[in-house]
Amino acid sequence: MTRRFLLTRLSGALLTLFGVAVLVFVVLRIIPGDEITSILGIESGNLTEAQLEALRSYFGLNQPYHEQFFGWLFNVLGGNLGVSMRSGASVSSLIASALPVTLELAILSLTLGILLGVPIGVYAATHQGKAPDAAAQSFGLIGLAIPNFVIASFLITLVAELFNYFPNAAGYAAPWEDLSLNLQQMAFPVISLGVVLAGSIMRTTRSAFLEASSEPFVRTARGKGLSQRRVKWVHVFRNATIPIVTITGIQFGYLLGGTVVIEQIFALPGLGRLVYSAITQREFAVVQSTVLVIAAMFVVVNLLVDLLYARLDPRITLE
Amino acid sequence: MNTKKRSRWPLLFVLLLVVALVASACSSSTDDGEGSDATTTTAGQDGGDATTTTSGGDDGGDDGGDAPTGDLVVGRVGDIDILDPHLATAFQSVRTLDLVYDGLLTLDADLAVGPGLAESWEFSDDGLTLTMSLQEGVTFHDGSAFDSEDVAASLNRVLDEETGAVVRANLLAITDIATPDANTVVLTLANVDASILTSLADVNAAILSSDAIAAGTVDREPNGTGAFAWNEWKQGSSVTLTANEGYWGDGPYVASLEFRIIPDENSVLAGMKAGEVHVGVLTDPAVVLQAGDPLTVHRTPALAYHALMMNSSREPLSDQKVRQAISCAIDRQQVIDTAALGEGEVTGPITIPAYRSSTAGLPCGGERDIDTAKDLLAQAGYADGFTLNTIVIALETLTAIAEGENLAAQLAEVGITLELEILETGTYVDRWLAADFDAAVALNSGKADPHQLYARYWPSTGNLNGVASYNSPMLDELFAAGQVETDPAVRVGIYDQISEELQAQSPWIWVFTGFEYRVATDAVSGFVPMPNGSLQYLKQTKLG
Repeated sequence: MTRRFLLTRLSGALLTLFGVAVLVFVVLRIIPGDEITSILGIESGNLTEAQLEALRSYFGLNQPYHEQFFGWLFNVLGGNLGVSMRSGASVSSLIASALPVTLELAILSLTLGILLGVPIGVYAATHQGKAPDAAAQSFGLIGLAIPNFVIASFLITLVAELFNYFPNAAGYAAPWEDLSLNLQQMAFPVISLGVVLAGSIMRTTRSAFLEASSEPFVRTARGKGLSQRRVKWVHVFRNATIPIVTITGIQFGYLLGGTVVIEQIFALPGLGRLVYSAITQREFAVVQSTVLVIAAMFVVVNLLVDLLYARLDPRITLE
Repeated sequence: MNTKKRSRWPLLFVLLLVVALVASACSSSTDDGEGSDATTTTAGQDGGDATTTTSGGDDGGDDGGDAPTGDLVVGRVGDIDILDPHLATAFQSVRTLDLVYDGLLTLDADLAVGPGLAESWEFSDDGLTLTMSLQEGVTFHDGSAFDSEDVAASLNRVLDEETGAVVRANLLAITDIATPDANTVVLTLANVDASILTSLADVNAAILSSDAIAAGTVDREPNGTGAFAWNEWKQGSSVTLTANEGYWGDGPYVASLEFRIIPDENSVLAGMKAGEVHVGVLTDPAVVLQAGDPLTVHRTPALAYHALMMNSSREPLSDQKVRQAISCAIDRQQVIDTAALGEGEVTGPITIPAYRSSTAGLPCGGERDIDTAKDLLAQAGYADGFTLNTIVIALETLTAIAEGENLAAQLAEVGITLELEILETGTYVDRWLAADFDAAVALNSGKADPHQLYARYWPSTGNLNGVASYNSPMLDELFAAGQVETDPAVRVGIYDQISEELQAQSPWIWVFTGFEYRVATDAVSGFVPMPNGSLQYLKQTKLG
C-alpha cells in the first residue's frame, strides 16, 4: 500500500518537476534581455552586428529554443547541471557551496520557530481568554505582521551602532571552517526568520490545540481520571500535531528555496542569492538547474510530511 | 495505545536531525573535493590550488623598500561578472580588472593621460602615426616577459569583431599596428583622433599576454602585468588579489586585496563600523550620510550624469519649444534635494572636470520659470499639456525612482504628465536601445574624454544617435572639429560650443551629477578616489 502510494507520488513528482523545468525555461526566454544586455547594458548599443553575433554564439544564444531546452534537459538527466558562462564554474559546484548555507539557515530558523512557537501556542491555548493568551496572540500577530527584513534592518542598525558588532561582514565562514564565526553569522538571520516563523507556528499550534481540546475523547480521558498533564501532552497535543507538521513542512520548503532578502542583508551566499543574481545576470543554465533542484527538494519535503502524517495518525492511510 | 505511539512522535525532530547530517555531509564534500575547485576561478588552474605565486620577483625594480603588508578588505554590494577585460563593462568587473591588468596609458586623479605600459609616446607631425616606447623588464603574473608582441596581439584582439569588445568603436582609427622591435609599437591612424590616448588608457583596451590570447584562456585565468595578481574568486562572496611584488609602478603596499561582496549598503557600513571592512564602495547617499566619526567619507564629483532623456523623434518633443519648456519647468536643485538628499551638483552636458559645462546657457537661465514654460508650451500649441511615457531603471540606480517622481511632480505644474514605467535592467536596456520611450530617467556613465562621452550620441553618424534622436549639421561639424583638435585650449572652446548648443536645443535635460563615495576606516591611508569611479589608487593604499 505504501509502495503504491510512493509510486504514484514519485510519478507525480517527476511530472511536477518537468512542468517546473518547462515553466522556468519559458519565463526566462520571455523576460526581455539576455546575457549580452545584462553584461553590457546600454553599452551593447555600441557593438556592430558581427560583434553581437560573435557574443551570441559564445553564450549559446544563437541556438534554437528547442535545442537549448532539450540539450539542457538531457545534460541534467545525465547529471550535468551546466556551467556558469561568467566564471566557468559548474552549476553543481555552485549549488554545492550555496545549499549548505541555506540548509543551515532553514534548519536553525525552523528550530527557533518551533522552540518559540509550539510552547507559546500550547500555553496560550491552555490559558484561553486570559492575559497570557492575549500576550501570546499579540506576539503571534507581531511575528506575522512585521516582515523579516524589517527585523533584520532593526538588528543591524541597533547592534552595529551600539556595539560595533557585525560578524556577517567578516566574509562568510562555513561551520567546518570556523564554527564560532559561522554561528555568530547565523544568529541575526536566524532571529529575523525564526521570530516570523514562530508567529505562524504559534497561531497554528494554538488553534489546533484548542480544536483538539474540544473533542469528546478529551472529556473521556479526563473522566478516566488521567492527570491534566497527561491529557494535555498525550491526548490533546498528539492530535494537534498534524496541522503543526503541515505548516512546519510548508515553511521548511519555502526556506529551502532560499530567503533572498535575508541572504542579501546578511551577506550569506545561499541558494536565494544564487538564483537571484543568476536571474539578473540572465545565466540561464544556472537559474534553470538551481530552480529544478529547489523544486525537487520542495517535493521531497512534502512527501516526507505526508509520510509523517501516517506515522502521527494511524487513522490516515497512504493511498 | 499511548505508550507505543508516544515513542514515535518525535520523528519530526529525528527527521530534522537527519537533514542536518546530510547538510554537513554535503558541506564536507565541497571542502576537499572538486567542488571547491570549481566554484573558484583560479589563475593556476592546473594545480587546483587557490594561490598563484607572483613570479617576476625582485627584478621588476620596485623601489618601494618595505614589503607589502596587511590584508586590505574592500566592501561592495556587487560581484564581478566576467573576467575578460576586453568585454567587461560592469563597474565591479572593470574596477577589479583595472588592478590586475595595465593599459598602454593611464589616467591620473584629474583624468589626465599619463604613462602606463608605454613609458612615452609621440604623434607624427600629421598626427597619423603614434609611436610608443614600452616599459622594459615588465613581466606578466605568470612570469612571462612583456613586449610589443603582447601589445599587438591585445590591440588586434580588441579590433577583431569576433571578440565583441565595446571599446573597439573608439579605436577604429587604428589601421595598422607595427612592432619594429620588442619595446616599440607604432600605430598608424586613418584620421587624427585626439581621444585615442584616453581610449588606450581604458581597461577595455588592457594589454594581455599574447600566449593567453593564443591559448584562449583570457576569460578564465586572469594574467596581467598589474599591481595585483589574480588569486581567487568565490562567486557571490569575494574576489581576492595578491600583491605583485615585482610591479613596475608605484605600489602595491598591501599583501592582499579582497573585494568582499556584502549585497546591502547598510550592511557594508555596519561592517566598516565593526572593523571587518576597510574601504566601502557606496552609492546610496542615505547610507553614506550615516557614516559616523571614525569613518572618512571621500566624495568626488562623478562623471556619471543623471538626465531626463527625451525622444525628439516623437511629437510633441520634436518641437524645440516644448523641450525648452520642460527645461524651464524643472528646478534641478529640487531634484537633488528630494531624490538624492542634497548629494549632488547641477550639471550641463559635459561632466569631465577639464571640460565641465557651464549651466548659463540653459533656457530660462537655468532657473525654474513656470510662466515662461507655460508660454513656450502655448506657443507650441500644447497649452493643455500632454503625457509622456517615461521609462525608469529600477535596480541599478538607487535614486532613479525618486528622481522620476520629483520630475513628474514638477512637470505636472505645467500640465505635463510623466507616466512612469519602472523597469528591471534587462527590460530597460531593450526599450532604451530600441528608443521605445517618450522620456527616460537615466544615469549614464561618464567618459574621461568629451569626444567619447558624446560622439556616439549626437553626431548623425553616432551609433546611438537613433536613441538620442536629435542631430544637426552644426553638431556634426563641431564634433568633427573636436575629434581632430589636439590643442587642449582650443578643444575646450569647441566642447563649450557643443555644450551650449545641446542646452539650447535641450534634446535631453541634464539634471545633476552625484558623487563617487569611498568610505574608509582610519587604518587606511593613501587612497585617492577618481571621478570615473576607478579604484586604481588601491595600488598605493596602505594599511595601518
